[in-house]
Amino acid sequence: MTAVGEPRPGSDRPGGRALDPDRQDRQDRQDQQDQQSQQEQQELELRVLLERAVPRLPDPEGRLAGVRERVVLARRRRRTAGAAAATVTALVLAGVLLPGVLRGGSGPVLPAAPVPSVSHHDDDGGRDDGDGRDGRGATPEPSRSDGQDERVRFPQLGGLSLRLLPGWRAQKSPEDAVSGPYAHAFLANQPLADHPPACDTKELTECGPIVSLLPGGALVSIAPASGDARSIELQGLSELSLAGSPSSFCRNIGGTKEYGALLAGPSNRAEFTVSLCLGGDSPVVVEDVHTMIASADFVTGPDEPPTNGSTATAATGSGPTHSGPTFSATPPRNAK
Amino acid sequence: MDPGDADFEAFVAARGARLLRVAWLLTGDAHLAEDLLQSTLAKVWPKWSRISGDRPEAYVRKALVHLHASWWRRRWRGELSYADVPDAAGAVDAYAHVDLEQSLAAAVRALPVRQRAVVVLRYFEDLSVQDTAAALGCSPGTVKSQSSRALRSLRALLPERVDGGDRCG
Repeated sequence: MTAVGEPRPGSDRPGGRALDPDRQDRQDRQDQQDQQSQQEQQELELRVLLERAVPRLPDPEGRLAGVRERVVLARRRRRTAGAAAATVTALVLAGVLLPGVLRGGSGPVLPAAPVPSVSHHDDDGGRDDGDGRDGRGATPEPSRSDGQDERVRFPQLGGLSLRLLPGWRAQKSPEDAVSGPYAHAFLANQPLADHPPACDTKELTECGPIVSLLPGGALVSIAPASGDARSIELQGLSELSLAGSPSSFCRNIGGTKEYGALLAGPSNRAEFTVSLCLGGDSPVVVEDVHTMIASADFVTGPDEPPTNGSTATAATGSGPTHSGPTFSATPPRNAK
Repeated sequence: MDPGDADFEAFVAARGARLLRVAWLLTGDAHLAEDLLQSTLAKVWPKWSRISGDRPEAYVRKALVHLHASWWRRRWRGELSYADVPDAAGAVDAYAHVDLEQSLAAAVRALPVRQRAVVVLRYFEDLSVQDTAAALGCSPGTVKSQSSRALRSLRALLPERVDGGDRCG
């Protein structure tokens, strides 16, 4: 038996006096209420903070027109996809090889081949069957086995058109990512997969069309610029600058060096970011990439079917209006 | 003009500004926000006659959040770091001299996509736990747990004091 005031055996309160059960219950409930109040207070503060800090952006003129345009484009893409499939089928049945139509002539302006909607995950990141196909029924890039340069166009990037050197492949992002900032284009000197090979779809996702860079391999990503970069006045292509360390995206595919640059659009402002991920040191590859990106032009007409025959006239601009900036041979460091 | 078009246009005129702010909080960039909003409206418009009678704003808001999550999952993006260009989406530095708008945008953007959506819906749009769960297609319990985690993360990321030292609220 303990005397009054002496600690009860086993008690753990300061001074050793244990609360009776009722008081303990009340204390616990009070603690819970205090915690809840604290959370509610934090939530209230966050609500106030958000309301104050989120800017009241002006409504742009032409928002509805922009929405209508997207609706029309979406319908057109669905119709075009259906028509293209029918055309390919008809050509194959007629015995005409589509790559043969594309081969020949000098520098036809071709839309970059779309990624098919059905994906096939391939562990080696894509096979090349020797005729420019990736072995899965898709044709991600035009054939360049004749050694001729060709131009590829990316309609979803403002009609960006680039010279594609022999040995290089081009690809654009999937149909359902064609709009705005998540539209991308890729160039590579090795086969490209037709679907992100391994993507974590739960949280942050950084996927590309290559699982692993080959020695000397290179992957170029072109995407619309965002944020402060878009306000930079620029003509042509800024210098390809070596990053201090490659990004996680680049490292994940075995890249050891990464370069970045900005590319101007018709407005003479930086409209695109360009990143080059290299598997090893290769000044020749860097130079090739610079040559291709510096050849950028912007075609403001509707999507064109692959041309045959008089490709020279298409390349020299007798077709849709070209509204590109002037590119100098040695791009100046004139980014502001 | 189709009567449905007039109704849709009226909706956009009335609610566009608020939805744009939601989109900004999701994307952290004014251009991206407008793009997200227009893309969402383009998806919703063809179905407007079916949805306009029953809480269209909730439907559009849900579509906005889902489209953002879809863009986030499907994006092919390389991180870019080059010396001559300002860092457009840099890491949050609680001690840098940035204004409230930038630090908040960066902090919310630093959250995982789902937590970000919960913050936007619960604390900016002021939806209930149940409505937030319905918009996200998850359970109320998940919303509560994501809310708690988001609050903890934001407290760690945001500057302790704002407005010259006065705590808001």
